[in-house]
Amino acid sequence: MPEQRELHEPFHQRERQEEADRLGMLVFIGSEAMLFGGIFAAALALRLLHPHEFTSASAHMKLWHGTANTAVLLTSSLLAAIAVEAARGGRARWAGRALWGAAALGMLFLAIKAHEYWLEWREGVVPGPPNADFGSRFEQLFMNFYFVATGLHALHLTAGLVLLGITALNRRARHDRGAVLIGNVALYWHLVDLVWVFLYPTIYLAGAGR
Amino acid sequence: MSAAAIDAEREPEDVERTSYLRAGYSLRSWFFTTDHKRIAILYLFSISFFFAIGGIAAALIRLDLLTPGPDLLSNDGYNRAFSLHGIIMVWFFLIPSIPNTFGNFLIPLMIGARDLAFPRLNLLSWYIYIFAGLLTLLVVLGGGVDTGWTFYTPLTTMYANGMVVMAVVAVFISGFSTILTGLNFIVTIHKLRAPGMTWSRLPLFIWSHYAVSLIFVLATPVLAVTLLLLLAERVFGIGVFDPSLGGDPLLFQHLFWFYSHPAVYIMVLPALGVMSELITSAAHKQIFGYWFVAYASIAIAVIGFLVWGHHMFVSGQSIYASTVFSFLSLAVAVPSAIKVFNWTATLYKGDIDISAPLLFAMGFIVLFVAGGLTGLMLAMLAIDVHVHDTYFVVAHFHYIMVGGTVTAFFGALHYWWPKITGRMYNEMLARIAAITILVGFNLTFFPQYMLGYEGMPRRYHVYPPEFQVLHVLSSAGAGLLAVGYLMPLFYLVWSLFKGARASANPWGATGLEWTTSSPPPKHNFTEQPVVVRGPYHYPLKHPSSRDHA
Amino acid sequence: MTAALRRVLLVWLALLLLLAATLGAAFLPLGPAKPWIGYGIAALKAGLILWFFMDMRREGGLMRLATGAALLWIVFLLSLVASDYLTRSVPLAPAQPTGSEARHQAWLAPPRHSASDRRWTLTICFAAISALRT
Repeated sequence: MPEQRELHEPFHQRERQEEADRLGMLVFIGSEAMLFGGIFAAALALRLLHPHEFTSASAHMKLWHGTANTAVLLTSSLLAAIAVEAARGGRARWAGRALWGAAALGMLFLAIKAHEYWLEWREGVVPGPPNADFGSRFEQLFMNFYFVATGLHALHLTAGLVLLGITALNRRARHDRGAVLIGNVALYWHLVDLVWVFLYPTIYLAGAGR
Repeated sequence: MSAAAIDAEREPEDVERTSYLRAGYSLRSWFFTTDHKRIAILYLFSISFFFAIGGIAAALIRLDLLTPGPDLLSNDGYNRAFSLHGIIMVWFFLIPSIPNTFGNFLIPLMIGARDLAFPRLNLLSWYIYIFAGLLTLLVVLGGGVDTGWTFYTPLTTMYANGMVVMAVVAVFISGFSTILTGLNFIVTIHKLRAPGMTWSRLPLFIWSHYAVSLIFVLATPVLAVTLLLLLAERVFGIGVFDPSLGGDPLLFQHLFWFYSHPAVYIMVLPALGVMSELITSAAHKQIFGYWFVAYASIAIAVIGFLVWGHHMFVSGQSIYASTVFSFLSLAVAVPSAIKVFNWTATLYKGDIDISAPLLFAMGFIVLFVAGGLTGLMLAMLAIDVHVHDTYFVVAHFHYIMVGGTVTAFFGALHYWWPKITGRMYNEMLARIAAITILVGFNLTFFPQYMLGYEGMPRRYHVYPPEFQVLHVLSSAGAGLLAVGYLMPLFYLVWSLFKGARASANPWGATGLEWTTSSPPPKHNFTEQPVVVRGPYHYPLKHPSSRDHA
Repeated sequence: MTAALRRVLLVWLALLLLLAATLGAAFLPLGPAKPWIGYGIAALKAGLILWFFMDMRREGGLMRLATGAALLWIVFLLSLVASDYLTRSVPLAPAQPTGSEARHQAWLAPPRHSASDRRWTLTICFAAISALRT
């Protein structure tokens, strides 16, 4: 008998409850998308106000770190999707491994990001420290915006790591042929990936090739 | 439906024994409840408390404005008074008022469910709201902020003293309460409707709350990120709103109003939903144009997201964008007008029972139309140049939010009071209160239209002496309004102890909430209701069988 | 390897290829088209993630509607914000004589409606009224 989640108030039927949980998670990530929508609106405004300065500031970004991170997150999303398929196929152990793999890649993302921040600090483009020396005032604004945007993203990514870990440790979730909890956590993780998919061209590609 | 009839005709002792009010007396049973009805009451107490605080701020404002000079408050003190008034009234009273009290209480009842989809999330919403409210009280005790509830940059980011960071954090946190509430409502309405409750059989109150929930979920996160950027600008000087670094102060206004304009629809849509219920019930008649009203709610929610630039006509926004926003702002009035026409047509040839809820509803229609028409005036670019940042705007939004939402709130409070408490209030006192409120309201706010048109700016407490007469009238009205708002406090509380016990359906109304006892049992219905008809299937029975004939 | 696994692996390959494409395109001299291409490829990636990884492929109308709504709302925000920033430097009416005397003369001048204008107006009104009456 496959493991099932328990029914709780006010639902009468487990299917309904599962549908409700998934819809709830989707609505929640919709709201998270709007949160980042505000960040993209700010980026759009800045780019439209100062197109040349924006692209030249973007040219100083660490393109390879950004690109590597994009590949890392895309692969991490793959593993989350594999975890869902594994749970649906009854392969609980693979589901667990895929979840851990997704989490590990998420941590790799954070490591690459930390390295990138460290290099930026050494170059003096992190606002605050005394060695801060930006080329121009807009460059300072761009870097500030970059830290806020990627910082907010990293915060969400970290929350996603916690969710992935909790789910990977949850025996009942791994054995659930409906993959309800894994599916919902994977939805959140894919949102983290989606946000980065759009942050990448915004921050890194605007000035590439200059 | 026979099961529901059994529910409504239960013995009073049985009703009382199983009532949700008696399912536990301990503090724990209230503060750790997951019952949507108890959470609604927790919210009712909390919003009443914040209404009082915001009302005290209003009293200070209106007292200061009795004289043209800065007699009561200093300039800075006055700025803090109106800022506090705005912040508390908007986020801690108006936005949660109808959805979190009546929405919470009634949505499961109206759709035939045992509770909301996520009961614990519902309780968490209340705790988040309370936490944010406590932070705001700390802000008040710490002297408040002088930034206005709109937190415009660069005042907030560069120049304002006072507890700006904590105020912004408090509002930021309160946003999560609303997002979770919206999420809960959306999932509940999709997934927990009783068998037979198709979308075409939903009460219009539910349609309105569904539309409001869309706004909760889609708009509030943008406020959150805007406030985060504001904090980052103030604390770290990131420069996104600072022209010297290449930023734009108007960007703050774009992001802020992208949320705050839909926020005013958050405040009015639930009131519109209440109105559909009060009008059909008082007229004992099917709503005229059910689908028009239902889709109008959705249209208001959608179009309401596209009009925010009308707050920025004179702030430096491109005139082409302003033209687009002006056109869309005119468009958004259409669904509201459709609703008003449909309510009027519903009343026409209805079998109308005069009652306190109906008085509130009629007052709502008049005041909402007045506020809406002045909104159309404000949407015209040329007029707005003249009256922007004057008392004309202040009057407009108070007509909608106070004349509209608060009036509907009181209408709802009276209408569903028997259901929530199991008691009837004193009808005569209620009618006196309703009329006092409506007279007091008009005396307070109509002179403000005139003041604004004559050029009295908003957020000023020093003004030319020729404006004093209108200000005195307005302040007198405010005093009368306060009396009107205090009256229900007395007779409603009195009714809890001495009021007549209410039957299941004292108004002779349709709706699943009236098929269960007053007050309902803990799980709302003793048997799962099954819906076979549309929501306003009047006439129910002979009028003489109504309690309230 | 199950069909499902093969599918997600193919999608992943496609995503990596798109990543390479967007990186490459960033170095090409595409001028003003560059951001469109960059975001266009990002949108394709997003579409793949939504459709295959987030299972929109198999979900019912409600879930797809919810996803679509969030995307639409972001479009609302971005397009109307852009409408301001894009048009701020667009000039208003073409240059007119700005002297106050010129304005005064223009105000005093006789109405500019010609006889043919009046005929047209009357004809249209008559036609409209006739149409309404039938």
